Amino acid sequence: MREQRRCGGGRPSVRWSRWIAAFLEMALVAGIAGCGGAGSKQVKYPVRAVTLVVPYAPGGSSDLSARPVADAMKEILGQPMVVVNKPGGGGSVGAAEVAAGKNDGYTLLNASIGPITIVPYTTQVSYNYESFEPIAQLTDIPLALAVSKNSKFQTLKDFVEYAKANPGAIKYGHPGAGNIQHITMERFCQSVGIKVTQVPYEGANPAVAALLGGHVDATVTGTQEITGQYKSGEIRVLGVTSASRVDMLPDVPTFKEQGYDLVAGVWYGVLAPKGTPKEIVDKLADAFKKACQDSKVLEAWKKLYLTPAYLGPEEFAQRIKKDAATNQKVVESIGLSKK
Amino acid sequence: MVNVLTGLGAVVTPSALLWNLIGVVIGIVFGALPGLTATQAVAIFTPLTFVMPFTISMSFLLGIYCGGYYGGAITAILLRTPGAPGNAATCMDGYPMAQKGQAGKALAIAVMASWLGGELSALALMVGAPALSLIALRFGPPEYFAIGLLGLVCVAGISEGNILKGVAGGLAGMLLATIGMDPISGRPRFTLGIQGLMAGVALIPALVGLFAITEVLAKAEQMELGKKDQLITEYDIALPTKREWWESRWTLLKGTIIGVIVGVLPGTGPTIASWMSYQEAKRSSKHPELFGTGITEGVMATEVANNAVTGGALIPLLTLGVPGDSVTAVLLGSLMIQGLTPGPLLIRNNPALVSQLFWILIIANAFMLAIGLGAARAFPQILRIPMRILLPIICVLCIVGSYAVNNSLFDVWMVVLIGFVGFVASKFGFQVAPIVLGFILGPIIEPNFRRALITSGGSPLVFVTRPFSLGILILAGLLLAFILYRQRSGGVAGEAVKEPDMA
Repeated sequence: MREQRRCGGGRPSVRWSRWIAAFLEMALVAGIAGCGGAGSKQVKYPVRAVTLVVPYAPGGSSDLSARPVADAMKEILGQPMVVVNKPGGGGSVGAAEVAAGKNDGYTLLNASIGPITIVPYTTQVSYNYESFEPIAQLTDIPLALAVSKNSKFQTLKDFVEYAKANPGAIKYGHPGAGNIQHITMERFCQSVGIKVTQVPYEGANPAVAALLGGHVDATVTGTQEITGQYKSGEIRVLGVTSASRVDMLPDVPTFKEQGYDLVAGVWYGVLAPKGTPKEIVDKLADAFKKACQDSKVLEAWKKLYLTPAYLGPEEFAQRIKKDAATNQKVVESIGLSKK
Repeated sequence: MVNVLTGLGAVVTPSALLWNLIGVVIGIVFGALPGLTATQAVAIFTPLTFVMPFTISMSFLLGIYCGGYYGGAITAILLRTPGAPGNAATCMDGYPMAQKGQAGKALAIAVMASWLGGELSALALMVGAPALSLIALRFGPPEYFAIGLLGLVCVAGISEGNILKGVAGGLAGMLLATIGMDPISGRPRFTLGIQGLMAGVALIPALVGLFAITEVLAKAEQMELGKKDQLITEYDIALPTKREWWESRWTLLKGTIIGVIVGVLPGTGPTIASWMSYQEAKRSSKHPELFGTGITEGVMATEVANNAVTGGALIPLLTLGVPGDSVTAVLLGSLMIQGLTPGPLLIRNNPALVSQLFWILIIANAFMLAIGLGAARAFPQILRIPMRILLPIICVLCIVGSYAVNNSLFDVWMVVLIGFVGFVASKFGFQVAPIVLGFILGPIIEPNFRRALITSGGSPLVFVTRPFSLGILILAGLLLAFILYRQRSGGVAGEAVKEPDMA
């Protein structure tokens, strides 16, 4: 199915190709004439399908959150937006490819916080956050610190005090070394001066399973990963890292409420390669803003427990810069930075 | 009981049945094409189910799931090209059967065994879900390490002749699997600074390279040496006899149990299940030397196990919200799209859910059986194609397939390289199967070994003080002793019988 899309239609016969050539020529002439006449303000964009690279495998949060957006964008832009999955290297393979791609607005990255603001500091990759033009942040999912229902920790304070009294005794699972969950937890531990033992798992599901099975004392994941287990009472959530409480976990206090200054989250957003013309960036940002208000998109996100959080190009760029600086510091302090 | 029947009523509607059938067909096609798997099919079609009601969406996706775990057997048997990783072990006896002119029979056995495994695992889901989900919870890092080690013992079991070469191949496979991101430290290792290796050597290109490309090169060599183009024009489409089924009853039962349990365990899947089942069938057989030469029991063992994973892998998804294999990981998203949050509450809040899924699986497997038996008559025709035409087609399939996995040209080069290395290795008497098994088990053994030591504060006692871990390790030891004893007494192993030192 994906192949067909890329190949376009069938192969045109000789006669057809002449027609197409003639048509293209006309279009070119018209284009040049247009440039001369009305000034270069009016860029015709998009005139063909826009590719949205998802740097993870199909079926994950990144993929499922992007697909309804791509559908909505088709209606808004009048051109299809094609989702292409380029998984690998914790999102860095797809990110590197887009960073090196053409900055004509036809190749975009469905980025997330990890590959953009952490991976460039931990791993030798060919890009950093400055290789991109931020277009729009779409969603923002807070993290949760969860413990088993039988845990001795009732509140975040219990957790911190126990960790202070018993350095390294608490073992917490997270979805992978150098992931935002890991980095954020380490950042929290540094800020309150505690030491805990981290146990990396391969993805959020195994980390949650380890918590349910009692193989770790706590797990740090995105809130959407533990909502089901929380509602059934199998686990207790000590705190969420959002600025205010989360709709799906209304009884869970934030870190801030409990007196700890930690606000963090996993964002998903769209980036274009550096140097993409400002008109195109603005046009896309407007279109994504509309897509973020589309009822189908909102419904899909709600079901996936993703929190809509649109940010325009400037605000998004500021956030990325801030996140990158914070994460770089943590990465260096825990010895994860690249040589 | 009433629940079970109302579940049936909900899923036997014309549209649900139709979507189930469509799903099975899509699943078989995705399964059969190398590089496209059931996981990808479910992922690609999940966005389509945004607009479907629950029973239709699940009929469609579970149809893909069941068909996808069987479809790969078709190409594994006919072309020695595993369409999906879970069917790689089927190459072992399925392909030799086809070469003996029994392609139709091998395909029929594959689908019938798949059907049996699928149906029995659906039954396990229906009656045993709560109990079996406890197993998933008891498995921590030490237990995963132990089960990986148990699988590695199979390397010794499936090494023909020279155990030492088998162990060397297994270790080479494990080393190959260490390339990429270190799963514990999150840092790249052995990537030589090559960006494409950051994600490691992908499973499908490795399997396709080792099985298919190696075989294509071997066949091309035979043609070059002037051996006659072996056209298989006669083929047996006789179904296996009742007696053959009866003689294999324990293999089928054990394969189902292995498949269900491996399915229940998160992080493992049909690939491991089919190899373990194959090894166990060979170990307990009265004529182990016939395995690999094209016997029905070899195909039954692998295909019953990989499809038995389906029901098993749904168990932790439905009871704990933790998927049991890669397809159910995608199904987790599909359930959320339906507004259902997988987790312990799922069944409590939707008591009819399990019985509906049970019936959907029963029906999907029946569709799969019908289509598969038809395919068993039609597809052996492929073997009538002369080698000089068929071989290039296989190459194209492999290359397109390995590109399609990650849309990565790098993977295409990996297929070519691994295929060539595999061919050279086979010239020196190193077999493909142990390399593959090491490659699959390495990523279970290594990280869990390290994770277990992290959680125990560095004490290796953690492996022997936990009952499950200790039990599995003892089992692995006994199995190893049994294999070595038989090799020695049978005199097959020759001079190089050594205890593989891999604990």
